[in-house]
Amino acid sequence: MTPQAAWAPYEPGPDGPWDLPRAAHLLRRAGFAADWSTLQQAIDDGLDETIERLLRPPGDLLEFEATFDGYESAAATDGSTESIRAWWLRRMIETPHPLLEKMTLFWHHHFAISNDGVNNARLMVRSIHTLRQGSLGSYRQLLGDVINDPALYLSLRSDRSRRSEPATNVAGQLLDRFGVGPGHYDEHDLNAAARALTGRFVLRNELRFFAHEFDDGQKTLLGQQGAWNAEDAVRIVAQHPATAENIVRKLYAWLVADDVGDVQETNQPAKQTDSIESQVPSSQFLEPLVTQFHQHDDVGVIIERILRSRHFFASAAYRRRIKSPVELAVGLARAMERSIPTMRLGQQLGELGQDLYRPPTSAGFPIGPDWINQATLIGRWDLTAKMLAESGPYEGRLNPATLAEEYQVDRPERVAQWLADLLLDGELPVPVRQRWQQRFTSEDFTAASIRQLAIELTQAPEYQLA
Amino acid sequence: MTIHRRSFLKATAGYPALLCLAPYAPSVLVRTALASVERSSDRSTVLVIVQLTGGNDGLNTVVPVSDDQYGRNRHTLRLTAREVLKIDDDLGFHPALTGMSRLYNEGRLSVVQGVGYEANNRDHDAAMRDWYTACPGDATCDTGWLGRAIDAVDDSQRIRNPGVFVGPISQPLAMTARRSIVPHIRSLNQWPLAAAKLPVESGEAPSAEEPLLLQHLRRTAVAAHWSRRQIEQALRAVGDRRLYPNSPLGGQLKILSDLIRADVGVKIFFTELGGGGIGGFDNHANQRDNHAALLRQLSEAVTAFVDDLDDAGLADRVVLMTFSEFGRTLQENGRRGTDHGNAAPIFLAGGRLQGGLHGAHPDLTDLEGDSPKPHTDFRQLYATVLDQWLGFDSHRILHDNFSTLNLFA
Repeated sequence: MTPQAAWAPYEPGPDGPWDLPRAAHLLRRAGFAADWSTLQQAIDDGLDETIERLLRPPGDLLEFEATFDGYESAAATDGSTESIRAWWLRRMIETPHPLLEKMTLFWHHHFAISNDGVNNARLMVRSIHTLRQGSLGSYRQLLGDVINDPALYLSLRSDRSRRSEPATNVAGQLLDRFGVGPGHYDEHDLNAAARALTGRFVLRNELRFFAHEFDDGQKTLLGQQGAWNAEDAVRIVAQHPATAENIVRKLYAWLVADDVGDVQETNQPAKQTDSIESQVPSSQFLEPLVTQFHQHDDVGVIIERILRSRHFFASAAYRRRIKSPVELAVGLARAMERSIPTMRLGQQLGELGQDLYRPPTSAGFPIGPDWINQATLIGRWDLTAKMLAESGPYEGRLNPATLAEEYQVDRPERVAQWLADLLLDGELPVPVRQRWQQRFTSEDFTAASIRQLAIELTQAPEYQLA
Repeated sequence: MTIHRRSFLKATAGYPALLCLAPYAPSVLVRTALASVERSSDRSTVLVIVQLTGGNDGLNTVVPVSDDQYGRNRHTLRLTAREVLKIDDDLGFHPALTGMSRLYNEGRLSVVQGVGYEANNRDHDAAMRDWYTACPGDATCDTGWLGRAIDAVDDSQRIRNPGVFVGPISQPLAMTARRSIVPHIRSLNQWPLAAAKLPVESGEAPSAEEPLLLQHLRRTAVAAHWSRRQIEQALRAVGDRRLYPNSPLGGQLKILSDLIRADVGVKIFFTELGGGGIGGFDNHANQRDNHAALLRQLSEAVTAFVDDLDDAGLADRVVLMTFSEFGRTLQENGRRGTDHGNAAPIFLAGGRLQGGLHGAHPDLTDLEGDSPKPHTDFRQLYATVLDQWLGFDSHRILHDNFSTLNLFA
C-alpha cells in the first residue's frame, strides 16, 4: 500500500468493520480508555461522529477547565508538585475532552520541563496550562509560547544568557528536540540559535529581556541569514521541513505505534519499509502527513487525519503501543466511571516511571517497551489490583460489580464477557476463562468475585497495550 | 552451568508447554528466560555505591597523625596516634572505624587517597551534581553515570533491573537514565517485586508470530515470576544470618544482601548515609561526636555486609565503594567544625581487592583554599569499576578516557 493510500480515510467494510475493537482502539488512543456508554455510543454513531466528538466535544468545556484551573492554582502554593500532580490526574479522569489532556501530556513529554529545576508549583501549573491552550493548534505558536516560558529556562538550568557568554542549553533543545532533530543542524546553527536567545534572564521567576545583553549581530541559522532574535529563531526552526517530520514522527509514536526496533532480540537495525505493517515508519511513509503539517502548521488537523486513516485502523496500529502508567490508571478509572484518590496515585505512577511535572531528563519520559521491566510490570499489576480492591489506598471506589448492575448485566458469564468487552475489546483470555469457568455456575460468584475477575483481566498482558 | 539449568527447569515447572515449544519455535521468551538463568550462573559482578552526604572530613577519616600540619590546624578535632587505629607510622583510621580497620588488615578494604576533581566549587548541590553526572560543570548533562551504565545493558537483561536505589531519600541523579526506569526500594516488604500479590502465571506460550510488544510483556512476566521465587527463597534462608546493626545504613545493606543472594540480576546498587539534603557529614560546628557516630554507622554496616557476603560465598562478586561530594578544610573553623574542601579518601570493600593504600596522602603543605588537592580524578575510579569490575565500556558511559587504577586482585 502506498503512503497516500495508508493515510487515506478508513472505510468501514473494505478496511474492516466498525466494531468494538476499532471503536475502543480509537477511544484509547485519542484519550484514555472509554466507559461503557461512550463505547456503545461510538459503535452506534460510527467513526465520523465519534471523531467529531473527540475533537470538539459538546458541553461546557470552559466551565470544566476554569474549575480545575481554580483547583490547581489553589494547590500550587509551594515548591512541591504533589498536590498539582493529583489535580492533573483528577482532571484527566473527569475531563469531557480526553484528547486535550492526552495531547497536553504529549507536549509535557515533548518539552520535558521538570520541576526539579523549576522548583515552583505555580510556574509548573502555568507551564502546563500553556501547553493545554496550544496543544491542538499551531506548533509555531506553541513553540513560541514555550520559548517565552521561564520554567523552560529554570528546568534547563539556564537562567541567564549574556551577549558575551551565550547559553547553549535552550538553543540545543530548540534545535535538537523541539526542532529539526539530530543530523539536521551543526555547531554553527547551535551558536546562531544561542546568540538569538541572548539577553534573556529569569529573575524572580519571570523571564526578562535586557537589550544590552542581546547579540544583535548577523547570524546564519539553518541556512537563513539575518540579525535574528528569539522570535525569528522560533519561526525559522518551526518552519523547517525537518521540524515537521520530527513532530509528525513523535505524534505517530504517541498515537499509532511504538518504535519496537529496540526490543527485537537481534541487534540488526530496525527495518525501514513502506509497508502498512511497518512499525518504524520511513520518511517516505510519513511524507503525506509531513507535507500537510509543513504547509498548514496545524496539530489538530494532523491528529484528525491520523485518527481517521486506514493505517490507524489496521493491525499495524492495533495494540502496538505500551500504555504509559498514566494511560493505564486513568483509563481504568474512566472505564469504571469513578474518580479515585489521586495523591497516592500520583506517587505510585512516579514509581512506575511517570512522575507528572517531573520528567526524568530533558528527553522526556521513557516511551514504548522501556516502560516495562520486571519491577514496573509487577508494579502495574499491583496498581490495577489496588485500584480495583474493595479497600486500600483507592478506597474501593472503582466497583465493577455495581457498574455491571447499573448496565443491567446479570448472569456471571455475561458479567465476565461484559468486563472483557469493556477492558479487553471483547477478548476473555483463555487462562482466565479456564480458571473461572467452574465458578460462573456456582453460588459464590459474588461482588468480590467480580472485582477479582476484573483485576485478573487488567493483569493480562494485552491490558498493558494501548 | 548444568546444575543451574536443571534448577531452572525445576523452578519453571509451571511452564511445560513453553519448554516443549522450545525445539521447534525458538521464541524470544524461552531463549531469554534460559539466557537469564545462565547469565546468573556466570557469577556476574555487583557494584555497591554508598554516598556519604554532606562532605566527609577525609582528614579525620584516614588521619595523617604524624603530620605536624594536621596537628597544628586541628585544635579540638585532632586525633592522636594513640587514638587512631593504626594503618602505618603516618596514618590511622578514625577510632570509630574498628570493623573497617579489621577488613583493611584482612585485605578486604582498600583506601584510595586524594580523590576529587580540580573544578570542585565546594557548593553541595553543584559538587554532588558533578559526582552524579561525571560531567563536571556541564548543565546539559542530565543523566547519571550509573544511569547511563544501566541504559547500556542489553535489552534482554535490562528488563531485570540491572540497577536499583535503596534508601529513604529521593532517588539521586546518579541513577537517572534516559530509557531505564530504576526501582527505588525503601523496604523490601513494600517493594512490589518482592511483596505484591502476583497473578497466577498464565502458562501461555508466546509465539514468534506474536507482536514484539506482547512477547516483550510475556518474557518480562516470566522474569518477574522467576525473580519473585528467587527473592522468596533467599529470604527463607535467613536462619543463620549475621545480625546487621540496627541503623539506617545497616537496614539498607541488609536489603542489598538479600537481593544479591537472590541473584535476580541487579548489578548496580546505590545507597546513602547521612540523610539526604545537605547531609549529616556537613559538620561546620561541633563535628567530633556527629562525625564519629556516622563513621561508626558506616563501619558497622559495611563490616556486617562484607562478612555476611563472605559467609554466603558471595564476597568475591561484590565491591562496595564510598564517595562524598567533597572533603573538608584542614583548619578548624573556630566552631569546632570544618568547612567545605576538596580531596578526600574513598573506600572500597569486598573480597577481590588489591587491599591496602592506593596513592599517597595529599601533601598538607600544598593546599588550595585550605584543603588537600586531589591527585586522582574521581572519574578514574568510575572508569576502573566500570571497565574492570562491571565489564562496561567506560568510554561510552563517561564520554572520555580516564586512566584506570590497579584496584582488583
